Amino acid sequence: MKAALARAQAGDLDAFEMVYRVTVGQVFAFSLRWEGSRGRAEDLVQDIFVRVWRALPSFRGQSTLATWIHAIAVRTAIDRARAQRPAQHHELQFESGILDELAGVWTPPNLDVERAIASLPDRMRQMFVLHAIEGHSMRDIAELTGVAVGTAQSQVFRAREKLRVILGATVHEPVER
Amino acid sequence: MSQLNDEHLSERLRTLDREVQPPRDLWPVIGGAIRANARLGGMEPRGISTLRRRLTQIAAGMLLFVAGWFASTHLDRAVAPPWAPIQRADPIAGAVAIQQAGTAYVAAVAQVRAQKEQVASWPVAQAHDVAVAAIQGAVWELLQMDPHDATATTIFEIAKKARQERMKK
Repeated sequence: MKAALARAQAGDLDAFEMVYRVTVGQVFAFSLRWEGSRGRAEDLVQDIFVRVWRALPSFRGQSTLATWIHAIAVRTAIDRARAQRPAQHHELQFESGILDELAGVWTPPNLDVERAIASLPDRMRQMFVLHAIEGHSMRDIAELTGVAVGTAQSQVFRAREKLRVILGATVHEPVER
Repeated sequence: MSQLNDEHLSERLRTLDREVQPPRDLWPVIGGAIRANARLGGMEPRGISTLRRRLTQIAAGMLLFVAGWFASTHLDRAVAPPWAPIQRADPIAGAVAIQQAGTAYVAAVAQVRAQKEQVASWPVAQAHDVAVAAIQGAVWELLQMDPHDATATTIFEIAKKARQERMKK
């Protein structure tokens, strides 16, 4: 992988394809949860890897490649979200979200959790994904997204509350009407 | 209504997939986008021959020259070349420069269409690609000025999709 990375940094697109193949799973998982839609997740993945290619010569190995690519992924996702609001605001329905689009392709071990996350409103879901799944601190999220720390905390708190209700209902009771 | 407790929720979040493979191969589109960006002045992937690159540059230069000549001689003799730098520190100067370049752009596309009407087999694919790429590039610049411009976002996405679909063909 190191050799492929060095060749990609020197401008070898075939070597960059190897870098892509090794890291796309992680990038797509993040993109899918961030966007809440398969089509938009694919567009985001494309934008991320084009940026990774452009920035590759500046990668010096201070962090792992995965961490470095993740940082670019988050910045790209936030830039896209800024460019899209308020023109395109999507809130997926719990019953017909992203997981139905991926039926037969991906069967996650925690289907109900993925469904519940996909059902959150865009902004809330994105902050929750950054914090609870990708491990960013509230301060990081506030800086990255340009909101106050309190706003980020409130969004993540509300997301957890919603998830606890949805998952509590699906685990312990028949679906509530 | 029952609720999951917070500890149980955290536990379940820890077990989520860290990697998900895309349902279709995205590399052809990504590789194509990188090559297309390289032609527009980005980081150049190795493997594109120098001769081919030079020929593309010469063809693009000729296209610009012909478009400028056509616009200045056939449409309006007062029209300045589209690449004229903005001379005055005047807000309207930028708009005038864009309008002049836009006139030349439309004239160049119209010329290709005229050729196509005369000779049905006239190849227009490359001109089509360049025309859509120019729209995408212009809207990209608009979005840099105002990322919340909903109309520009829509046009950008449509142009991007059009280019992606042509690349797949």
